[in-house]
Amino acid sequence: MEKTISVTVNGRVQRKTVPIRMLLVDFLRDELGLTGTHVGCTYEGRCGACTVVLDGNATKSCMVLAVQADGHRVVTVEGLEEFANAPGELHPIQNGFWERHGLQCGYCTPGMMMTIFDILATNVREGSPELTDEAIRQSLVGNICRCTGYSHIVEAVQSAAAQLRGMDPEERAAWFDTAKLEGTRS
Amino acid sequence: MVQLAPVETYHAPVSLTECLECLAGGEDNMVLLAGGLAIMPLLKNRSLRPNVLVDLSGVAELRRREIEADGTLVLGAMRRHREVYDDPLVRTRWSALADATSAIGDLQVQNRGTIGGNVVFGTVLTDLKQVAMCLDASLRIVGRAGNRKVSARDAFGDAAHALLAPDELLESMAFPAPPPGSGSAYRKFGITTNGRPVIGVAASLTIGADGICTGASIVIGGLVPAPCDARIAAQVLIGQSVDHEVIAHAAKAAAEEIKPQSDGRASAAYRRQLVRAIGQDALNDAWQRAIGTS
Repeated sequence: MEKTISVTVNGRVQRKTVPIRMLLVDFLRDELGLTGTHVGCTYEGRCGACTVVLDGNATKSCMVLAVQADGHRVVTVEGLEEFANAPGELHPIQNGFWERHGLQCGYCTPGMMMTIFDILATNVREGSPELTDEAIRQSLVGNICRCTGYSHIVEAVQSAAAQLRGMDPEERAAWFDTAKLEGTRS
Repeated sequence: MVQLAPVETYHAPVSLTECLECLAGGEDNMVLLAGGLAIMPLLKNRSLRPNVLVDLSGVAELRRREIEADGTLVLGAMRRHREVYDDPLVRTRWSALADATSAIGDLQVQNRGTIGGNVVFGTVLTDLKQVAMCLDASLRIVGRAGNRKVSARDAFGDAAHALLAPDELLESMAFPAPPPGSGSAYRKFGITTNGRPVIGVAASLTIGADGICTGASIVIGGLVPAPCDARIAAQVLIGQSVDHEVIAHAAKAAAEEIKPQSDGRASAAYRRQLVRAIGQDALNDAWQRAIGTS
């Protein structure tokens, strides 16, 4: 009925005994208190607000059991600031949302940011933080914003990509280096 | 909060042998998780109340991607959709497969969903069955009684044909190397963006140096009880010098050849219209790819 798992969340190893049936989203919110990961629909995997980055891939945390994350790395919206070099410094994704007013009520924002983390990380790995608006929209199909503020969200991603283009490749990669998180926090 | 019914045991096997041992364990109330995207909703609404859950994602053999000596592409059943369409070789040689995997659900689904889960899960409304049939794929199935191979056309073309015995597992799908001068494509229409196909058309064409079509396959999904291998429509293309007019004619033939159902998502007439429209697009893409212009 229960299993002891060890999940690296935002660079910290979290060892807990949880019911097998516990969803990853509930583990993050209720066990770890990381309530930045939201539940927007009734756990049907429709809204994308619970998106986290699991081993580098944007994943809806309501569609995965906590036990399935055993031995894996999870980054939540709370983890974004951990990539910064100084306290108070924002991740380029957060900065993009700030600059372009990429949110209204903010409920969908954590999920949006974590999906964007995946697409920008892939982009940076491939060496070109260039994205068309159409590609951004396509990537965000699984994240619903019921304020319908999509235009500003696309602009926010473009703003984040522009910031990344202005950096040297090493600095750019550091914003997505989850191993770096573990180095600073273990 | 939505909770699954209590689960007694969770297994995360790391080898195929271990998987088969789990299957042979005699547990009749066991559920296998591939990507889990189709199963998880059924666990949450308690249509399924398993005692045992087996997660296949740790089995490296099921994630493999190999090109065999004869050019056959072998993809493990647990290969995720995004891994498939991110593969440059798949995009150029088995384009219909790349088209289809990049149009299954959203990015989060593509990151998690697997090709095996898509074809094994018991709904007819999937994308990869028609693609596997169109590309002449075969399925490699492992079980305690031994391994066997079945063609996708046989397995998916006949709904009465159960794909797996209770103690069997889909190990991989094998896509033969397309003949020179071939191109393939997949187009679909869903109620929402990248939703389950109301109609999905997989097309593959082989074009000789003289522009004459020497091979064609059109397989249409979104139909009950099984995808339709539109052989009459394919014959419209074979032996012809392909152009937009011949393609439109073939798509029309395909629309006449299917026996579409009417349901809450589309009427039979609308399904025929969809086949005419997106069938033409799929054939055009396949043609352009075959003659190397895209």
